[in-house]
Amino acid sequence: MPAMAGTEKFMTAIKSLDAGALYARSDPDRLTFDTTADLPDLAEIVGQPRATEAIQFGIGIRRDGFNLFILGEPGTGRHMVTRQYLERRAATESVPHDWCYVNNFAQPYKPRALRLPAGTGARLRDDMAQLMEDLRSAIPAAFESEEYRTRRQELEQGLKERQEQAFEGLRKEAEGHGIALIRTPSGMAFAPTRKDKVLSPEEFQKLSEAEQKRVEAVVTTLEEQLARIIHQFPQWRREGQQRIRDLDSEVTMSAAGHLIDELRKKYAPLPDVVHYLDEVQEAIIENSDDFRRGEEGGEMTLLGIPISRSVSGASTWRQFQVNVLVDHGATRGAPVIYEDSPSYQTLVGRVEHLAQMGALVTDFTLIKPGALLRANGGYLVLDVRKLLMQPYAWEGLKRALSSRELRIESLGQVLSLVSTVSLEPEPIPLDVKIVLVGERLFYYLLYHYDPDFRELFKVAADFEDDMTRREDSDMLYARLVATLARREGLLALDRAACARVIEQGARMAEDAEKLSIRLRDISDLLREADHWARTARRDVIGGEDVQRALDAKVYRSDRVRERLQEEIQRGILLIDTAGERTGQVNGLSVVLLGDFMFGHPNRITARVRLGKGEVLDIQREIELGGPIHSKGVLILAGFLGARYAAGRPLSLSASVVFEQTYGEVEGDSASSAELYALLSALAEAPVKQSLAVTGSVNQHGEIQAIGGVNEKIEGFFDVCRARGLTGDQGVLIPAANVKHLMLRHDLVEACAQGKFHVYPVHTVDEGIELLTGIPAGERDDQGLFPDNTINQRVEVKLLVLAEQARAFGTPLETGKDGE
Amino acid sequence: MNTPATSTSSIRRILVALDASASGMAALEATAAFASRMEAQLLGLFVEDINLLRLAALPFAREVSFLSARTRRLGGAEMERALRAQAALAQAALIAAAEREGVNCSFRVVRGEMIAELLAAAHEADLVAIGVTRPGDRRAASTVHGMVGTAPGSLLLLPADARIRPPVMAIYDGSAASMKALVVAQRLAQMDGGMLTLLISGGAAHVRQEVAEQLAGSGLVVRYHALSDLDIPELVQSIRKEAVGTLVLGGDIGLKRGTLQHFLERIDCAVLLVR
Repeated sequence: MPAMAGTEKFMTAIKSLDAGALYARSDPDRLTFDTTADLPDLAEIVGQPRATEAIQFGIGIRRDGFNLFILGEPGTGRHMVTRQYLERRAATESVPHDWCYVNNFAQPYKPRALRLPAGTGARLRDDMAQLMEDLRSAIPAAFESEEYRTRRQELEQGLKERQEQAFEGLRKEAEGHGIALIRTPSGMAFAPTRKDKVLSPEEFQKLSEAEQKRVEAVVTTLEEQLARIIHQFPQWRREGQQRIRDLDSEVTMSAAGHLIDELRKKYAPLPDVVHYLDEVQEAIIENSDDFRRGEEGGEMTLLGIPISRSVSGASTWRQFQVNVLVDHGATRGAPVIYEDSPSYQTLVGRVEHLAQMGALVTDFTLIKPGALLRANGGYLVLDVRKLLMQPYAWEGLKRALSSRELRIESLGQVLSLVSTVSLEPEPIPLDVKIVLVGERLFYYLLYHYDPDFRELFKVAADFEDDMTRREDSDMLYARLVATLARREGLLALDRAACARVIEQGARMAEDAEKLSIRLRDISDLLREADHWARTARRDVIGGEDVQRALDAKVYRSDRVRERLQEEIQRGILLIDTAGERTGQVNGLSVVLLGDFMFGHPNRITARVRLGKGEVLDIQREIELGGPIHSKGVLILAGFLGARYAAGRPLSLSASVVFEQTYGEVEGDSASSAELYALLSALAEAPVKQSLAVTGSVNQHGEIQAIGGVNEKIEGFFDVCRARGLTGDQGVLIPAANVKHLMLRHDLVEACAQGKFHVYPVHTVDEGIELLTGIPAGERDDQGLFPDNTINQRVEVKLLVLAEQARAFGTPLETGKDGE
Repeated sequence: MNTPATSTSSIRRILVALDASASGMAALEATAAFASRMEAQLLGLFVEDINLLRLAALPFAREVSFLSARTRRLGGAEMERALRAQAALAQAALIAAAEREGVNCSFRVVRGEMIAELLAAAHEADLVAIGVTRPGDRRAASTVHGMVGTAPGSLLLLPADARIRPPVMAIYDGSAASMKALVVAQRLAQMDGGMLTLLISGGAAHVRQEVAEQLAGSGLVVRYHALSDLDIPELVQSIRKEAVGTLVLGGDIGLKRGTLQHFLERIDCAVLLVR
């Protein structure tokens, strides 16, 4: 048969791949160590030169807005590298200042921030506590002294005597006129007397008229004087009270002054502290009564519940406390803070409240720092996903960075949701470098949608998922493995184990020329291999332990894959692996379940008939086809029209379907298989069912690379192996995917023995020739395809359909415009 | 122990001179508390001062308010009403204080000269309690002076805010009255915690002997201070230094550099003048 001859000819042209091309082996003999214990740790992470340079630049530049965004996939060591660089840099920088809040004695609702040299905050706090302790005994003792009592008695007596003298003077003057000063029920009065007795009205009437008038005039004058004296009493009382207050201040100062002076000397280089101590001194004098009460002057309680002495500010003792928000006494270098739960409050800080008698009260001692303050002068690392999930945390962070100061306010205050008076702590200047760590998606979303983002995060460090595999890569990767094993406290790996891990690194990268640097996945593999090695009582992880770890992981995850394979073997899912069928091709698809991916074959069928030039994607019609899949199918119509019906209407109606699929089909990796099925149907050329196909196709008929090539090949191999390998079975893959091959050992072995084949295909023509055994055919000088080639058959079929369409008057492809 | 006839146990009726002033009310409270401890009866006496009524009857009678310094006319009826109101307030205060302290009381209103009426009523009582005067109240001050000078029995003088409280101090000069005072002070000190400060004048051995005999077996902690003579400034200083709560002394005490009245004006603790 000519067809067979053509196939024979082609089979010599398209060779299946050698076993060596199916798996990029790592040769243990090229590893120059016995176990990874012999290898030193890596000083730098491998494969991330771009990211590490960006990090170094980002943390080195101290300019506004040059905060860092570390973007990359989880498990690529973003956090580890960031920490490493930050800590290294921070260790060379100076320790930032301590921050404290102290009472603002003039405006208690606006606590004052104190910036102090590292370690001084705690000392000041302790010194103030000691001062209070000393004053609690010193001030009462001073007020109990005989000197104070005597002087106070003198002052009180002085006031008393001043009043008495005023009355006495008036009384004497009155007596000189024969008039007495008398205390009445509600005041004082003057009356003429005789022998210490007030004259009766009758006696008064007996006086001469002149005498009566004289008495009345004197009484009037005396009353005026009395009124003037009484008018002066409040002023005298105030003066007396002021003198007593002055005395109290003097006594308080005698007890407290030298203690405060000692602190002034101690903190003389810190003007803010000295100023604060001045205010403390004034407040102590003002509150000397509370100190005099001693222990009774402490917290007041009602039914055992502490109640604040002062409503507007801190209670007596609390107002002299120092609230150390950030203590860098034990810090070395600049701080590097990791906030794992970046809520608004944990970032910005919060003002806590105490419940007292049913009301919530607060003061400056209840101000709590957030991560921004703890990292002030250093670095703050945040996970961007967690940050964005916390309400208003992102806004709070941006606000602090934009204003370069930190205002510790509740969300209620920020959003103006509550109007009750709380605290308005003095803002603290902020100098912190923020390092956000997150996936690329977040970076691009924020960049696109948040105008502030690009102003505040000007440095992006993009982490690679994999590194290029070169001659020297194996030893470098071995050191990475050694470093991870050591850090995790795992057994060392021998050379075979290390080589197997390297190979798996390529498989994880889905590329024989790359190695995955997703450290989390590698670490997980090492941990599991360590487990199996220890179970087998080995001191070193061997290659078999790594393989067992890989197999065990697949076994734990592949319940669904097994079920699919079982359904195929039982004939429930219809997949042929032998024989030939027209318009039917074994396509290959992958299923992703969590972190487990596997491939399996799908039957793809195509039917053709007279029509108006459309290729019907049944998957799309029932809304089970994704957009990329639909794009692939539409390309087929473009390919058919351009190649076979450039000068006439494409009078074809074709339908393509993924048989026995009940969920959404997405991706264009089956478009070449769909095209093969169509060509088979048009050419009426049966397709070998021993072969399966993957690869996308463009309008020029070129086969393009797809993802998951290893899993797809393995999926068909498993079906064939279960039915028995015949030596004819194999998979057509895009030639561009050959460099991605890292196939399973058993599959590679079968290929080496000629029991299974992997064919690299460049074009549709190559593929259809392999599948049908019939030459595809190329146009000759007259533009005609040779007889009995696939392309000729297809063209003839389309020509016939076009003629039929014309004969039947069927609306043509371009006929819509004319309708 | 030598127990003279007069002691605190003989205080069965206490006459308290009442007015509606703040110091009068404070004195009433302190007296009621003392009466309760003595298990004595309170005899409240409100004297409608005849001089006030005479004053009110004068044609030009006016009063200068202590609060506002304003002058207003006084009338007889108005004064009567004011005195009745004061008496009612005083009675109510007496009853309330007596109930609070759990003592019996009686109340009486008399009209006349203050000292004469008090002296007349004092014969019915074992002790007369008087609130010490306010500044400018010369007539009230003269009442205290008059009573101190002429009252036949014991007096309790209560300055504002003073109460019968420890520490108790007694002055002993060897006189019979001072012995009575020592006995009263001993009893008060025993009731108030067992501390007694004793100022002994004279310093003769027999004086000390008498004191020692009197206090023997009393169980008191006694602090002795010997004084060469009873100089008023020195006494005042001692009393302030010791922060004395109650001073007990004989009515015929011989003081230097001033009268008893002068001495009493200068101290602000409760004074029990024993006769």
